[in-house]
Amino acid sequence: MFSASKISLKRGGRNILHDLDFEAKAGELTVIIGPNGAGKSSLLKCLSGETTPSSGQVLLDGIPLQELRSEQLAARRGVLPQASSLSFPFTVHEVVGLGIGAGISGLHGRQRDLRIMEALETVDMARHANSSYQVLSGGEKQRVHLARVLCQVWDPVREGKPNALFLDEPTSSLDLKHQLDLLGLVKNYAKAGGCAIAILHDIDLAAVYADKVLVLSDGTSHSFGVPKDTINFSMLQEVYHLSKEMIETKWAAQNTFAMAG
Amino acid sequence: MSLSATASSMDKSVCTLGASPARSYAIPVLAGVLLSVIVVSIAIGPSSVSFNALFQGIMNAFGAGEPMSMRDHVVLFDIRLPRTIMGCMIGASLAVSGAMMQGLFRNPLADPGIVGVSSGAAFAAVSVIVLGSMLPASIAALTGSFLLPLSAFGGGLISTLLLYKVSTRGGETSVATMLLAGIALSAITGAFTGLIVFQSDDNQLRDFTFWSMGSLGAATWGRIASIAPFVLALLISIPFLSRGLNALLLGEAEAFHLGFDRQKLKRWIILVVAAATGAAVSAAGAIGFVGIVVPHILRLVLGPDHRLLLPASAMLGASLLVGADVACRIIVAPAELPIGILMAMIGAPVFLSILLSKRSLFTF
Repeated sequence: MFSASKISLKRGGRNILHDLDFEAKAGELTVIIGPNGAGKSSLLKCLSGETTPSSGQVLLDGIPLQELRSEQLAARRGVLPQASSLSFPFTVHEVVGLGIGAGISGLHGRQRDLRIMEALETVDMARHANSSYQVLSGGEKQRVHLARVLCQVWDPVREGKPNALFLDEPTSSLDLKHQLDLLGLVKNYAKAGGCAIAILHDIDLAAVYADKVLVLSDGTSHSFGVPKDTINFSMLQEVYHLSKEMIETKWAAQNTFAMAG
Repeated sequence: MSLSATASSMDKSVCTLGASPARSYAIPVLAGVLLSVIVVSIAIGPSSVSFNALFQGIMNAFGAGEPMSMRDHVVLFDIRLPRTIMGCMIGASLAVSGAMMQGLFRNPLADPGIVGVSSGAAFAAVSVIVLGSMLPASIAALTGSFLLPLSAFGGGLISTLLLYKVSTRGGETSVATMLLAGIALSAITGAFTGLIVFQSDDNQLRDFTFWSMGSLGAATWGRIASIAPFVLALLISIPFLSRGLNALLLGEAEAFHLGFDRQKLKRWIILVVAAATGAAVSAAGAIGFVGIVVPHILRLVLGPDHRLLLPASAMLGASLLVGADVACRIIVAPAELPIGILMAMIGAPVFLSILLSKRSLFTF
């Protein structure tokens, strides 16, 4: 659905992305992993149209993004940023409602309210619908924004065309349960025919939930494929520069924990 | 957390949602307030004209009622009515411009008066008054009575663009830079205005006193006509910009993700704000704080949704300015207090109270 061909991005003399080829298909959850500064967020920004690559092209169903108007793009993909700030006292309900005007749903009145509530139920925030957004915790805010993005591209497939969810480190401020809830939800969205692209730092979650994994290293693709082909010992050493001991320490703790469980 | 929630629990929650009473009554209540203020403004003044005579006079203009005396006719149609109408236009312009700028800068303290846009407009207007006679006759003839508001619009536009360029990097506006740049901008334009005032003669000097303190006293039908296009541009833009402004509150990137052409959106906001601020300044001088006080009060009661906030700001802004003008005419009657002074007395404390309640915004 979304494909990037030979995209490069230069900022302040630094090559952030370099000759990157990538495709995210509808019906799949594609997870982007990589160390800090590998270009994960920049790639997502190029794919969403927020940033125009210095060279190369991003295509949506074969059409270059520059040829699409922002409202056409908005009807096809929603973007959950790493963090959103909002210094005005909107209610949770109003924040989620901002997503509805954006898509092509054209919902009004009661139907609109129902959709907002359904989205809030989905992210386990319905009881806060009338609260002020500003009093929420970081994780709660993140879930409200997820509900907003869901409202924007509610149907995984609409009129035969798939929609897409772009998530930039969506689990970073969530507790464990809501991390799993969120990834389950995104996985279901992909299963229903939608396209989902998420940046994750947690390699275990990536291994469990991803259909495809793109490993980014220094702005280029280290490897791209199903988790079992991409997430392995040598990748952790090459891309993350982890020593054998570090890898053992990190996953040994988890094994002990799992066995004791 | 499944994609489909149970219908019954949703129905229950929806019942508690919807428009709060304050929101559904806001427009009719504000319309009522505005109407009463207008009536009071037309009825009150140094020359006593009976309310009945005024009513008859207005009806007479529509072909009913009894004709009024010549004196009453002049008081009503040449003094009070234009003054009230211009007050409405300027109050609405200032309040809506303030609300829009606060949305654009994502900060409740942005206001054309505070961040130097008004002083840029005033500088341009003052320049035209003093140097206008040096302009080629062709330009003066071409622009006619629009010359003053047009140049104020130009001055306001340049100030706004400068301010935006200085304080915004990569779509993020630095509040500290914005306010400091505003101070610098006000100082520079103020200095140039002072330089021109220094060069002016006695007659022009009297005009400037009016500029610096703000007054609706110079209202005429001609002046109303000359600012009307600019004010209308602002009011007509409200339904087209309010959804975009809501999205902008989340940030520029988010506004784009939500399907708004952010560059076009920002350009329109800057353009209509500069137009309306310029018009207001050219007609009534520098009247500050309307753009801060009105949106702030309305946000507390109605929330920040621009679809309601902007029309409500227009109405409350008009009411506030016309009301303050009535007060200015009464307090020191038969003299008149410049309205800019009264607005600063009301506005500055409100500005300070926002500053205190939003201290977190200023941790820089």
